[in-house]
Amino acid sequence: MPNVIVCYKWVLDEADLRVGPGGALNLDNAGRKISEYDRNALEEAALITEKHGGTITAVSLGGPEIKASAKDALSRGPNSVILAMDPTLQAADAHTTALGLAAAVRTLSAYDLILCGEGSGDQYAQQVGPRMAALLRVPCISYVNKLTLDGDHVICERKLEEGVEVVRAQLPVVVTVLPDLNKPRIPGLKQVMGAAKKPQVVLDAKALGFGTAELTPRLSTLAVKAPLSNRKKLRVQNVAELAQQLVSALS
Amino acid sequence: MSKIWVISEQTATLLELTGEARRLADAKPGTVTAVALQDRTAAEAALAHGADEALWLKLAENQPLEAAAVTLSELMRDAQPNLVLFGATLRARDLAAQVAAHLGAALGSCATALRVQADGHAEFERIVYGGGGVSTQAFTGPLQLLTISPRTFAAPAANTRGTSIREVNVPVDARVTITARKARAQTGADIAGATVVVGVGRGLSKKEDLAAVQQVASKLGGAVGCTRPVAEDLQWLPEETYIGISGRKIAPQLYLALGLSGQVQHLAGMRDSKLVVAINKDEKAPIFEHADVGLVAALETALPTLIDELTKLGR
Ligand SMILES: Cc1cc2nc3c(=O)[nH]c(=O)nc-3n(C[C@H](O)[C@H](O)[C@H](O)COP(=O)(O)OP(=O)(O)OC[C@H]3O[C@@H](n4cnc5c(N)ncnc54)[C@H](O)[C@@H]3O)c2cc1C
Repeated sequence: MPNVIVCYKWVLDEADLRVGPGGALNLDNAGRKISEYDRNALEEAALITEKHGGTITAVSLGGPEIKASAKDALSRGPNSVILAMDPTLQAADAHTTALGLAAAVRTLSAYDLILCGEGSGDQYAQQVGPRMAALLRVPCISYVNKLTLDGDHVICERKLEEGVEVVRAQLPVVVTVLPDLNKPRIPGLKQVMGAAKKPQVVLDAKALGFGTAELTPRLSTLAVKAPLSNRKKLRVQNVAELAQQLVSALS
Repeated sequence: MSKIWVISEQTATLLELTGEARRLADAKPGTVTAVALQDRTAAEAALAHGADEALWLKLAENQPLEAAAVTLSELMRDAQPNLVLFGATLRARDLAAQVAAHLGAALGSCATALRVQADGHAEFERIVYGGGGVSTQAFTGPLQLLTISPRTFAAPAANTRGTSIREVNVPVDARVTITARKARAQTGADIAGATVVVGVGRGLSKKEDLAAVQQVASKLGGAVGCTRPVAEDLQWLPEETYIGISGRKIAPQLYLALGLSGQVQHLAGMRDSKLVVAINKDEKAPIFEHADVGLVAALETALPTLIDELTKLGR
């Protein structure tokens, strides 16, 4: 029976983005959510264990804000959650995040499959899954939109630029998933209530074995701005006027 | 001396990166090493377009590209390049992330612009928040890895430098095997190259109304595209016609946005349109902030009228 690990990121909701003076992005009032593709990873873990049995451990990394994510994550199927949580991890880059998640994974006695979203809804750097696989010395199968367990192997379809690549790999592996893999269910009241009773483990930077080397960011962000938009924003009153505009644009 | 490495499994992308690396290396001065994956002719082409030396990493037929990660990181550990540019194809992004992890190095993902300072420090721009932001980032350490979207740089002119190609065999990772490859069938309109695109969103109340959208598009001489939910959730239009950060990027003369809200992920794919015209029944829809011309109307009534009006105008 497979032991499945799902990594998820508690991201700022990009729908709450506001553009301030000079095009600066304002996220002060933005809510948080489980990154979209990570919900596909959670759903896939639920589908796998419904079929094959086994356990699901959810793992997330971040600052104290991720505490609030645990119930949401647990209502989507995992048996327990590990929060790699420390104030120093609040703005962790991909390097630190992958090291921290790998360290959290190593605290578990055994695992077969690690599922990650293909990229996160905020940075979308698409690094954490492959980086973690490299650190754990297991294969990474990325961009997967179909996954089948076959004994101690997994068969995955990778959706790539020119078509599909079918890969068979020996467990344990890291798999990063695409949104068309499945349709995440919306947790019901029963799942939400049940989530409150499930175990949560917190690992701080020290418990992860982190020193300055691990915590030193490899990248620094100099600025984040809204992309330029200087459209005319002219309102027309009826379809005839609109048609006029369309036709004159083409002549 | 600066050392720049460029890596891609696509010949055209490898050459673009080689050209840019040559330009940077000539300014420093420094050397350019091109790494070809899979194809020896790509290594030869890089040598003819500005690379001082080339490496050819040979993978077994049934091995995914990412199986080269350990070999590549060992080569880089020996050579100690300052700047490594990968073409940001899907496979190479995965490969680059694994290499970065093996080296404990920084990796900038899918950069859309690159600037290298006199001291060799690189800064780059990339899109964040699903297209809602552009982030400028810098490396803090000496080993700078970056994936760069194909076609960011122009194809270079011929410039023969070195002649030596070093062949490196990538050991087989027995844990992973490619068992099949299936080419993708192209079924939808070619919206990436169209001069007029009509984009339709979830505001279209029924699939049958696509006929009217199609009619508007033909009157304007354009192709029909859509938002992601229209392709992926409703499956009313083929996947290769959805526009956005995770779909196609378009740059037409005219983009007519019909019944779509204008979420950042969609905007990221149509931002380069010359003129944007939008119809939406909600006057507060974000698309109006990103349109040159806007009309508040319901598509059910607006579409038939639009067809009539275009006919009247001789279309
Ligand atoms: C990681 C990620 C990546 C994504 N990538 C993409 C991408 O590449 N491309 C993309 O398009 N989306 C993408 N999305 C989805 C995106 O966030 C939006 O959900 C999507 O673009 C919305 O599509 P829509 O505008 O068709 O639908 P909605 O947001 O539901 O908007 C429908 C609009 O139609 C209007 N409307 C309703 N009825 C009528 C009517 N009768 N007449 C006129 N107007 C009407 C409404 O006012 C509304 O504005 C992505 C999301 C995530 C999380």
